[in-house]
Amino acid sequence: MLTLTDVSVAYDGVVAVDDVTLEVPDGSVLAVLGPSGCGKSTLLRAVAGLEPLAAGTIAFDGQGVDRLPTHKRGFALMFQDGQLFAHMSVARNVGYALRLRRRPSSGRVAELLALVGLEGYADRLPATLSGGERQRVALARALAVEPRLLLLDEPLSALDAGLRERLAVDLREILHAAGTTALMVTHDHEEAFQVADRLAVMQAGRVVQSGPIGDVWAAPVDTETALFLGYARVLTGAAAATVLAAIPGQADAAPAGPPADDVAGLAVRRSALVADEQGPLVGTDESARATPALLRLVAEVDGVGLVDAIAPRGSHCGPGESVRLRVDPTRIALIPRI
Amino acid sequence: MRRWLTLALLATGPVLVVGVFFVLPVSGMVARGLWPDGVFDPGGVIEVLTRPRVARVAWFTVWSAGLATAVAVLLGLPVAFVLHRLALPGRRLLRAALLVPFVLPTVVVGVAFRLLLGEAGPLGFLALDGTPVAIVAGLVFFNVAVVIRAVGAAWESLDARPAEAAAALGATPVQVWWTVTLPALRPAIVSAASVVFLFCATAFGIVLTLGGVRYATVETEIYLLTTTLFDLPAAAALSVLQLVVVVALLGLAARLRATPDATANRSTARPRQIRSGDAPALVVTALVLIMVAAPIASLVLGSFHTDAGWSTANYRALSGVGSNDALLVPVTDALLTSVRTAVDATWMALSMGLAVAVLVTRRSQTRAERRVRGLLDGFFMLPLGVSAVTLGFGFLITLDHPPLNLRDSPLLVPIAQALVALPLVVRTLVPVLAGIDDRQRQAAASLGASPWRALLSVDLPVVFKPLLAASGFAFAASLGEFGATSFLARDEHPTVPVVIFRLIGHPGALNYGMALAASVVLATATAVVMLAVERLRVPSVGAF
Repeated sequence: MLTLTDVSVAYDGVVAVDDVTLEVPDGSVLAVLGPSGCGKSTLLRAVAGLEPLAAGTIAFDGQGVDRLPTHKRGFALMFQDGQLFAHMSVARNVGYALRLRRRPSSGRVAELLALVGLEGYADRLPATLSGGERQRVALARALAVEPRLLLLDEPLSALDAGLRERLAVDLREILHAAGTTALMVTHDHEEAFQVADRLAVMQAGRVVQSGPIGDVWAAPVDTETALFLGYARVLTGAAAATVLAAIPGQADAAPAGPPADDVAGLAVRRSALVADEQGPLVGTDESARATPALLRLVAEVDGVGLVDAIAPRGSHCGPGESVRLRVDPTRIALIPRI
Repeated sequence: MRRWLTLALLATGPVLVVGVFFVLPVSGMVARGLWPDGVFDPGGVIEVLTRPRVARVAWFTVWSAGLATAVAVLLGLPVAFVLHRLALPGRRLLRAALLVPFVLPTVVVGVAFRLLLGEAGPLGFLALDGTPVAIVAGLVFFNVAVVIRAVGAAWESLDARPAEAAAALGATPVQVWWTVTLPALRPAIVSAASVVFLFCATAFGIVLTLGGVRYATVETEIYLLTTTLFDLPAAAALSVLQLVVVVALLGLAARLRATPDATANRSTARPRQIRSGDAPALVVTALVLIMVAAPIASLVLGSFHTDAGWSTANYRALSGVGSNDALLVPVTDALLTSVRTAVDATWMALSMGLAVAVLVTRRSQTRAERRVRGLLDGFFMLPLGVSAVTLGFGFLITLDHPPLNLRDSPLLVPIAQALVALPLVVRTLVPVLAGIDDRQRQAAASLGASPWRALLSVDLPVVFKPLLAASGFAFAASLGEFGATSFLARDEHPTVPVVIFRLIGHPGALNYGMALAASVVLATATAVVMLAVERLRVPSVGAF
């Protein structure tokens, strides 16, 4: 288990990571999610031993690793763009850590290439690979000596959308198959959701929320976090009360009750409101846009204001028409007042 | 068609100048060897090359240059690391200071080393004066800066992440160095080593002053054969040999030179804090600094030393002609001549170098065009390796009769110095121009800028500082140029290095003291110029 306790990192006196405490249990994948510049990459580099700590401790299985240089920590780091060694073939890249330890590498290399789906690539040079292939090679290289902790620095963000989605699924399977403990940083909440079990949200150097990924997802701690987790809008005051009142079977629904004093707002996803002939909310359609799966609307709802909504593909909702909406309670989250 | 026209237009000037003032003299020199008495007779060349003394000289040249190169690389690597990767206070100043020896007049370095290693010097007990060790030390002193600059520039722009990736995979610092850093630096190291070998193998002033008659290299042998023994065919034969070796080496260097890779990460790494593991590199750096500072310090001390104790008498004597009329003109006059000559040489080298740099960095559309540009690139590098003595002597024999009688032209010396400085200018500007993304120019053109306008708005802002730096570098190099100048300078208008050489050759304590004082003045001037250049922060200065 990786344990960070009150970790701070500073560049020339400017604090980049501020008093972070985190845990990564064995065999789990923790995603640190945050906007660019929030200090998440610095945190990862500090764990890898590439940045000196200003304060705090980093321990693995109870033993402090702060004093150990990078190469003795037994953590493997996978960079955003792979950082394959351009002068070595794929097989030599993957076998690099094995050769350092004077272990026989050929069989293990073939095994690893099979694991990441790159059989037959052994003799290729990194320059001849596509972005996705490079990341797979980098992953195989990082996994070669079964590191006790794998550090992933935005492993998928250099790839295009379709590839990213496929590789994210693969990455999760590979990590689980190998039982690897991993710490991943990313700015993409979908990537985090696809790969990780646990989530920590970082803002301006601090971890503002952490926990099992579903819990964090269902209850963002503040407006910024909610927006960063992919919620489209945060409603407050009367608007929030109107939406909450419209929840079907409102009395025993999960986020119950009107916004009390301890609730700061209501975070709604783009699919929180659904067009429904029997829906309790009434509004006017402002715009409608077709996507492959459904129709995305923006509607001016009485007592709520401008919100996003969805309608099934094929329903006739044009701008200016009136529309009735219901609330999907799994697509909203209450934000507590701090 | 227009592209070829522009290419031809840009190429004409420099090609003409290099053709007339470089190819013509050098081929004139070569012709002397192959066509003695107007008949083609390669047998003469072969006869010369089989002389035992020539074999000895050639062997000495090879091993002394090889050893000096090896030592310079071994010492230069840790220093390049310390001065370009570590957050060492005052590292910019140190970088500039280490570049000073490279532009110091060779004669001055020779004098400084003799002062240090001579019987009365602080290191006299080592009895190194007049030994090959002294020569190799002198060559290293000169060229370690080239290694530091060239490798340092590559190291500075080296992406740190592959090394971090290796460390994260469990590689120790030593393993990181062998498996990741060294392979990445290898092109820069090999290219620097080949250039240093070239400089060492064609070193003139330093071998002449430190080696005396016992130890001669091909370069000093050419000088000896022409000026003392008047054996022109033999001198020409040696020039041919040197030319062949140099062209081969230049070809090798060009092939191995790290070309700016558009996909490479050009970001400059943040200098890292010093750790305890850096101690060995820091020790070597301190050692190199002492090695560079010691001869210069002994020079400065010597210049203030007279028979009557410490005084500035040597400096005051610079307005005179020395004892026993050692000189025809006062040293102060020579200083003026030096500055004037260097200014002329600088604008010549700069305008030619700029044209050449633009020429060779423009993107080629066809294979033929690329080949022509590549050939031109190599062509303008030639003066880098061809010995200044061959050049100076070639000037003498080819440009002293009609249609080109420049023997008494005041432009002769600046032209020769400009040719020597040309490769320095080109090598400073080419990486900068090559680093400009061609799409920037295309963007300017698509917005309606004419090629000239695009040049002005895209290239000029980027190249302005390197241009200034290159001019400073060329100026300093011209100020210290000795090899070609010693052949060409007229007796009544000598430059300072020539005067210094003459002063050491004359007996008398005052003459010697004046030589030291003049050396200090010259060294100070070049050091100031190099400090100003370093302030411009152009990484390609001095990095070949």
